[in-house]
Amino acid sequence: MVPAVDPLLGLVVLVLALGGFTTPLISRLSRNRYAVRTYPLIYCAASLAMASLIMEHVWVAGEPVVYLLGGWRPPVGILYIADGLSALLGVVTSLVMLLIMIYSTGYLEGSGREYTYYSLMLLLEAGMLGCIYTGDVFHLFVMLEVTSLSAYALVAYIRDKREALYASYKYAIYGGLATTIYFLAVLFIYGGVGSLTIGDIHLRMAAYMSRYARPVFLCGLVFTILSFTAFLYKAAVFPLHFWLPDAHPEAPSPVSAALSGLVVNIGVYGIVRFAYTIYHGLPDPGLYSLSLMITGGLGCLSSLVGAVLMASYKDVKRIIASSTIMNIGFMMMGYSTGSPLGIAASTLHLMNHSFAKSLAFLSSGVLIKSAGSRVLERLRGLGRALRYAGIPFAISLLSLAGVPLFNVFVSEYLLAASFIHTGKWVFLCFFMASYIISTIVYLRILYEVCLKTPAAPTTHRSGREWIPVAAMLTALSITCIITGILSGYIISKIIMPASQCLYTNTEYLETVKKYLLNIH
Amino acid sequence: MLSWILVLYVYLTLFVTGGIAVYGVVAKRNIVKKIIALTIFNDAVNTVAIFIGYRLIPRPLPPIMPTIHPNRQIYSAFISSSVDPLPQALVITAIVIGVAVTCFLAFLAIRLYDRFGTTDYQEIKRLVRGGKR
Repeated sequence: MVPAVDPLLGLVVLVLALGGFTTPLISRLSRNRYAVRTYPLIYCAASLAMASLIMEHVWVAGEPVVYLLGGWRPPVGILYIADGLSALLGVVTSLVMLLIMIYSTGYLEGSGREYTYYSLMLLLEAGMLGCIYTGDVFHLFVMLEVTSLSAYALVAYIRDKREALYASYKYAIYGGLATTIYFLAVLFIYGGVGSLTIGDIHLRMAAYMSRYARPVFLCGLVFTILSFTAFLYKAAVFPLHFWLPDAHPEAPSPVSAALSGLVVNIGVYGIVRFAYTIYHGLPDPGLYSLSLMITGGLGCLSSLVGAVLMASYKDVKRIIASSTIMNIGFMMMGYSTGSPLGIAASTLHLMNHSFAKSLAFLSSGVLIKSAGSRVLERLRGLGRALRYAGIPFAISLLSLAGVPLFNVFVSEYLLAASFIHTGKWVFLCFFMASYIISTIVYLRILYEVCLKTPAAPTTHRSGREWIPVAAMLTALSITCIITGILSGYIISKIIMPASQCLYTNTEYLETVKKYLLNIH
Repeated sequence: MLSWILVLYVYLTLFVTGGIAVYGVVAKRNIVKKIIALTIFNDAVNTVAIFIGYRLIPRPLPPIMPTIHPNRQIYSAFISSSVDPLPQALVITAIVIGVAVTCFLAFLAIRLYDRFGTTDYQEIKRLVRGGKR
């Protein structure tokens, strides 16, 4: 009756942390540069294999798989649990991370102190996978801090650059505030409900609501506002987006790709997990509709603000980073429709955005390194001179602009369909307005960088270190096209079951219930 | 009655301290004072956690079992009067994490002073922006 406990869930985070801490050691022991570069890749590949196996286990079992940390049962111990959404996000995260790491081996050639970079990247991945797989709100806090601290340090990786130091300080000081506010939220829910396990919080709230409706509602209200503040900061949603246009572009390009494509997903995942797993299906629907209202309203504003910011910058990396604010707004709008179609569309958009955005940053990184500037005018025609980066950059821009045949078109089409289906006309207006503005900006960059003739002959580098870079750009481009063409298959096989499981949340709660320690 | 007023007073003090600390992080111009305000906020939240562990019990006892062979009666007396140890465990973790964040921020503050020659956040912002636009 009880499904098999999957030890891979606990192992994947530990393996990555081990890799992160032993990488500096390897660089001390071995003077060989290639050893320092290939050693972290082993861990990345292992994490991808484990995440894929977890996804397969969830698929075969047809219900969430769990792992009990140290064998302690939930309200006392920490529970790792993977349902369809977390399994999918885990695979996307570890796949994109592996591609970014292989790309970095070529891109970072000759920057010195490479081991700190690989160590921090592995810890970043460990933190993200921990956030995704955990079923415990306090463990989520710890993993959020692991992710954030690695991210702050990676933004300041080039530590002599003034802008990078300023961006990292700005990101870190407000990020520290946001995560402490999340800790306060955890304390409120523990004081009010007496449990830290996500599924158990729902069960207890449902049980207490019949007798103490008002106190439970108030406790949930404070919890929602405080924890959503932290997640909205991490996801860079409108009033708390101010750090993103500084932090994301100032990092080295592979780090920008990881931050913009993957780390913001964690904030979205946290909000979705809380809104649907804790609040959906409670006797009093007030908290559920409140959390959807916050998500939807801020999502609308965020998409428009992101689009306007995109149009206002001249710096290519800033434009691409601002488009993250807009796309996160789209996902929030989709999740707040409260319908299975909207959730499926947003989940698909989350995945597609990760691929397209990291491709955009990785390919623009090559062009920027060659031009020595991030201003759009200085990159004119470079895409034609450096074909191996120019063609992937064009593919990523076409994909982000929502051109048919590419992956983002499918998810944006589904998002619009879900707004019409649920009658959210305000969402549709905001969506269309930001979509039009952003498409104009993307196509302008495409025209300037990839279609115009180069102003001056560029220094053409063709060293051996560019082989992994070109290979990874090709791989991500193919991923973007294939996920676009096969989207029907992906939606029916992976996205729909995941969003159904998220929407109804009974399977998740039943699985948690099976492992709960019976105190009474 | 007096104990209730005291409890209320403690919570009120902690939340006012936390509020002032948040104001300090946002409004202070000195980058070191911002970090100090952040640590004050961390400490205020950690103290709230400890107080939540006390569960408003009139006479709290430490969470240590008085005998080796407890029976049901001792268990129920223990549960009704002992302090909840879990928030204290959470606080230890949160303090360790807070140290890591503060260390990193202090490192950044030193580097910032090194590169800009000032600790004024607005001045640093102006210098960064001035170079670009």
